[in-house]
Amino acid sequence: MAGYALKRLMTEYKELTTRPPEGIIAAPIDEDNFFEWECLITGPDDTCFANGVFPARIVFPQDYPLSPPKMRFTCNIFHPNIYADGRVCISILHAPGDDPTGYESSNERWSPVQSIEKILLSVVSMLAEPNDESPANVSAAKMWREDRQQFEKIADSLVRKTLCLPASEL
Amino acid sequence: MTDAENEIELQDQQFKQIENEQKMFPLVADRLPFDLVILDYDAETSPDYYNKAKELANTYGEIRQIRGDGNCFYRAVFVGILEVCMKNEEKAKQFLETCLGWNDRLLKLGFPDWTTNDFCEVFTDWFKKVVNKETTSEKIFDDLNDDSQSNYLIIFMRLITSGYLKEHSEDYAPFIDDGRSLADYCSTEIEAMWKDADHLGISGLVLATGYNIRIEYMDRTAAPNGGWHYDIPADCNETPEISLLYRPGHYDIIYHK
Repeated sequence: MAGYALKRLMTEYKELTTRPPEGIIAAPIDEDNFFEWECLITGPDDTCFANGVFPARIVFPQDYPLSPPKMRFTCNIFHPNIYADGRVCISILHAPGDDPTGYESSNERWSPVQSIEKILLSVVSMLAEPNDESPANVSAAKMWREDRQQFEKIADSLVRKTLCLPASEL
Repeated sequence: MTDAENEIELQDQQFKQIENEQKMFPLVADRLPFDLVILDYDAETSPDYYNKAKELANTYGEIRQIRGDGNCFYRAVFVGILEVCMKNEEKAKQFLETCLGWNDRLLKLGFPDWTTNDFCEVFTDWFKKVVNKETTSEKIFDDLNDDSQSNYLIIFMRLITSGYLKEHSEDYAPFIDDGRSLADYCSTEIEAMWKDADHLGISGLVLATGYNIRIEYMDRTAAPNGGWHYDIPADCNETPEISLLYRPGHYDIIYHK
């Protein structure tokens, strides 16, 4: 059943190691189980998440790439499109039709020609540009909209945490 | 959990349940007598359907049912093409050429290279065995009923459908009425699994494969121009080799007597 999924995941792993996108590392947690990956995402430059290194896990279904994987940050992260438990809510991780968040149809959805790399790049742009129209974390969306300074302060403290740096004196 | 999370959880469970119910039915069933279709309807309570089924039974002798998982149109046409190719080596070779050619056509349209190549290779490698008679009819239908194998082949059908629509974007874009671009439409409606084919999908697949089809509508109002069926493309001169039976929301393959 999972033969094609495994073959595809191995190819993607090879692709990601030979041509790694900037600021992203991703690999299976255990070479015996290609269906669960760990990745490290660097916060995009010139944003309040810059320099942070955010760990996340990606879990693939047995029928990948027909169905999309699920992704969850394993660190503390305060962002309009990430649930309190770390689950990432982004259009490319949703199959078409499956639309719990009411995303605009123009957002890129999952299709089998997409790839892990595409997902990770979408997550990086999501960090840079939150979508506060359909938030997974309502208080983060509200603060992003109404009190940007406070939002950036929280982001900064989370960045420091991921780097094991002491809290800012600001 | 928040309400939104609960809702996602609940939705996941519902999808799972629907999926499990669908999986009780084979992806591609055996050929069975067309009379089965008549038995689906009651002469008293749904006379229109009953009479139409009886009428069709004069022309069609058998039906092959396809699982209703949103891929039925693509799967039905694919199986129809395979059956033609299994009987006719020349046509099989021709179809292989068409499929091999699609790899470059898709890349030229900007499909992501190595994921697209992967689907193309899986498909053509599999189909080469059919062309070269390195497989048996039994093995072919086993593969067609293996979810993973079968669906990987279906993706290829979806990609070339999308490819054809994109190659002729000027002709097709005006038919997308909700303000989406053709590229958006293709990625959400055509390239994604488990999405039903609408008239663009139907036209795209027929023209991408080069196989004309006839669709018999169980709904009397669906084909008002004197007959009950549509041929696709409408201007095809010969009776198409592949016939499908459409019942609201679903396609099966039917066979002339």
